[in-house]
Amino acid sequence: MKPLMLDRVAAMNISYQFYSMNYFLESVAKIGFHRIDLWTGYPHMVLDNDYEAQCQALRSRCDALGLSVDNITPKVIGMPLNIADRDPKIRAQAIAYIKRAIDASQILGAKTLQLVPGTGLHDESVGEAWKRSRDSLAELADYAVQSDRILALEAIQIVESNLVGDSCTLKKMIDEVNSPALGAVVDTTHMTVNGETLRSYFDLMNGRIFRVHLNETNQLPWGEGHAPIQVYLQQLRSYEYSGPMTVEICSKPHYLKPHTSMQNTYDYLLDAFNRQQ
Amino acid sequence: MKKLSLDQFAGSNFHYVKHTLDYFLRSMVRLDIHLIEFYAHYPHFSPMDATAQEAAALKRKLKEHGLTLCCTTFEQCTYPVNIATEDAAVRDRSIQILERVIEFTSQLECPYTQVLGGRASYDLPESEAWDRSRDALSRLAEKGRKCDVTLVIEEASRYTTNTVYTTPLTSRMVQEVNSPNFKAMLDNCATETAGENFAQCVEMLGPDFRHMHFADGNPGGHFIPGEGRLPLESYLHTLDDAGYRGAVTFELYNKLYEMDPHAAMERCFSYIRGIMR
Repeated sequence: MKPLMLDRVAAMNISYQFYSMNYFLESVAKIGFHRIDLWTGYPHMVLDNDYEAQCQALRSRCDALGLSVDNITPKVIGMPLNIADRDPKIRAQAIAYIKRAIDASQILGAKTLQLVPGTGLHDESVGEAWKRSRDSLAELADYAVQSDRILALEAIQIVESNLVGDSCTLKKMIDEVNSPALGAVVDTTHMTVNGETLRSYFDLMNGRIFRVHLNETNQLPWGEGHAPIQVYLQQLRSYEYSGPMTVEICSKPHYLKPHTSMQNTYDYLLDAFNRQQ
Repeated sequence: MKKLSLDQFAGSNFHYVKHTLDYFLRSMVRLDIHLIEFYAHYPHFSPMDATAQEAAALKRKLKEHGLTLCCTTFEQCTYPVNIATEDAAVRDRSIQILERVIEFTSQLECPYTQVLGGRASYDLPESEAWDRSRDALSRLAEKGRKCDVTLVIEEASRYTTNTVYTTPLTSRMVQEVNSPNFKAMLDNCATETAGENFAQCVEMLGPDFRHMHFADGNPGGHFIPGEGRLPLESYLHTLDDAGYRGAVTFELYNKLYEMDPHAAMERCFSYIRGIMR
């Protein structure tokens, strides 16, 4: 089996949200990453009216630092940007925002985007919310096909969505949308919460895993939880996965010192990747 | 208790955001709650998108359900709203949104609205963020004076803000803004997270202390009474001894309770009705 390459792992800027974008770029370039996964959250990039100029400036800065934008992750959770919303105004707003992220990906040279399913409200029909999510995803997948981009949908935890929360519902949604542009992202934190494994995902998804979020327990910096990195790497290799990966740190206490947390994460992963048998 | 009374305790919709507004309103009626703090956030009411007609409809609904507002709290953590940022465009837009929040608060005949201090990027000087925050808050206090609404500044943890994150900083901001329409509030989870003594905080703010968020914690977390480890009864005695006459809101700002928000609020009120009986 061919070893996995750490170079395939992109660093996400979400844990640098208390620092400027330039601080993030310089930090990860210095650490040794070559790819970034751009989370479009405030204050780094909110995709408002001047997004084209912002994206061009970001691209230039990345080029200068030897970084490429591997993926875009539109920030929608916590915002009125829910693709499954019952209010047509909110739903249209969410779709327009993600289409803009697809447009931004052209400027940034990112080939993929990561999406979440949106959510219904708990005192409403899940079936209706599911249909709205599916219809929105179908519209976005069409737009992605025209734009030569790929979308990876993530199953998220029940506190964020009551629609797509595990490998089965993720598979069902991807099958129903049935577009060459839509596949899955598997996140090692979320899957563990559901008692699932990389095997559950890879066995079920039949080659439609477009990205792996290679994350520590509770999305902590690597080394601070107890996720079995060697098991993950071994399983990914056994499925001959050679696609892109992202590492995320989503733990507020670590947002105060994002460089140290990301450096520790990189060092831990470097050691783990070097030890692959 | 000598003076503290049950009618000072308020319900709130912080943890009802995965349910419809109607569900929340019916829940308050079922619990015989008449005073609420209104969390102005998607999907219940988003001041960024809402029209005056929608605010009028909300006011009518509140009245139909026999509810009075003690305070409005606009979501300022997940939205790109930041009055202290070095980005002038974002800062101006944030002030404009908060001016609309003050107008809506006035329209809803609510005396107080909560504000946070905002933040600059953490790699930039805090003192400059402080000055921008104070100047923005002074403008907003002037808007409050015209609309007959008083702003209450809340300390938040360093994970949210690098301007107002302790009670001495809260007190200093009230003094620097120096307006009859700019006062302070306390959140016992925030004071504990900052390592402060609650009684000393109450004493420090004196008559400027106008509003209160109340929850159990570890020390943060905003839990139902009994699920954390904070000395809740001691806080109540402190409020009573100080002759506090403002509102005390149960703020369950925690995703744990979003699945069954009614049951969570029911437990809060069973707790307080048991103590105040």
